[in-house]
Amino acid sequence: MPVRSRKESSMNVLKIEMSKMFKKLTLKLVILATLLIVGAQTYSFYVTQRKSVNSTYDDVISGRYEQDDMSFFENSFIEGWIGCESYTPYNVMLYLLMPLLAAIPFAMSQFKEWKSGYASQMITRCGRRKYMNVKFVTVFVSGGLVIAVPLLVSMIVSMCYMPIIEIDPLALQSVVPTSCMFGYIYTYHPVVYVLLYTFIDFIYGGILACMAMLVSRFVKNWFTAMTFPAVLVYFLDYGIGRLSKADTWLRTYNFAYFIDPNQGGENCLRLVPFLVITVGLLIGEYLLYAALNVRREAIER
Amino acid sequence: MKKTGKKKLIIILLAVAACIGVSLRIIYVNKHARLPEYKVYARGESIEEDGFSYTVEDATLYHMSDFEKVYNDGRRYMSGRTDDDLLILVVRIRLDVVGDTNTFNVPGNYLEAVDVLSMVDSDNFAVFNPSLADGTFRSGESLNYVFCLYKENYAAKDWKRIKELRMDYDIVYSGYPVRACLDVGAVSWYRASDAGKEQEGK
Repeated sequence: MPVRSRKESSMNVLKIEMSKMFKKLTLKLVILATLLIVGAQTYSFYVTQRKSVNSTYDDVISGRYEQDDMSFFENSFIEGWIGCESYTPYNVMLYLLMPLLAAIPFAMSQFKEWKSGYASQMITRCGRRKYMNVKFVTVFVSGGLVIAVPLLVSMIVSMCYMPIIEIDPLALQSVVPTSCMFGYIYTYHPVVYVLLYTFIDFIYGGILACMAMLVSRFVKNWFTAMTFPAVLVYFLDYGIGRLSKADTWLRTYNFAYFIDPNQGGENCLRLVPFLVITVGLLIGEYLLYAALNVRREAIER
Repeated sequence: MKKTGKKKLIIILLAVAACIGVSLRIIYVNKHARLPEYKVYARGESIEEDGFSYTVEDATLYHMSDFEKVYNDGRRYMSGRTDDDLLILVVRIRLDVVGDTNTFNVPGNYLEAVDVLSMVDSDNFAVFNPSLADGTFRSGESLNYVFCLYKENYAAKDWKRIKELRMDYDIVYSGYPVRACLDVGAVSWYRASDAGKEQEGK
């Protein structure tokens, strides 16, 4: 009988978990739901904004706007990207739903596997640490994918009808000025900004999904665990962040404000707190997860 | 070929076709972007708009307290602001009549610096240019265009560049199809010894 190396066996468990995650109907349904939001947003943006820009262009070219040559400005694709788009309500909708969507597909899998006894079988076969690590990675990826896919699709769709250019400053449509975190990237390299924020949201999708998994360790009801990240984000955003407009630190150190590429319309986000809190959350979650599971009984009643 | 292999092949072909289609569409959209033609006029060159010719003569940067002394008879210019978070750029522009019009409208030009816009203070334009209000202004004389630069609108390194006089400014005169701008050129800090000269302009 061939003997598998530790790394090989680890990869096998990862493969099994990933395949389980990708085959989940809920993952497909959630991604489909986010794509529907992107579709509705694109249609709405086209009808409310792009069409009027096109008709203004026709007016300028035909000479009807002779007296006012400050009327037409070409849209940049980033204006229509759901992450930074502010004409329609779909950006708000996506980011309100995001913490919930991230937790739906796979975050509760460990909770269910522990209840059903599947976890104990896996631990017996591949070892506790391996099972735990693979589960953490898979849940993280599932949460990240749910957020990253619609953002990437929205970028591509937006590029299909608006050019890849910098936002014209005269159009006054910039939502992330140069004084903001990543403001220069947004202004001068919009594609990089979109990819960067898609990556950031992938990370936060993962963090929120893992957070739901962590909470599932403490509660008896999976629904409570699944909705916990959403409740926390709403509390941090609408509760804490908006307590006082003058106290910008309420938002500078508030991760609920890091998630939206609009940066909540705030110019108080800073790179160092952002990095420290994001990395801290990631490491903290993993350590807590490890601490909670390292001595966990394989069969719980 | 097995059934699953065929299915995979069809999916791959469809994905490749979709990628090519999307790429071609993106190339087409970018080739047909409706961008303005940029025309930037250097210091000393004139731009003609609506029967007038505009030429930048000089530009001076003020702390708010200095500006108040020179242009606002020592009265407070903007409440809630300090020398630390507000700088004021005064650009002197020579105005010549080149058409048959005799009516000069209060301007609404933007000053552009690293994608940050500041609008000319049109509310107080007559205060800073009393010769326009009292009817003594003559073609060939200068007008003071006052622009407020707020610290919070600029990244820290740009604010530093403004203070070190290394920032480039343009005054925008038209948007589309031609984006005509006057390059403000070199800017200097206000010195109290220049007071007489500034008052002349006023």
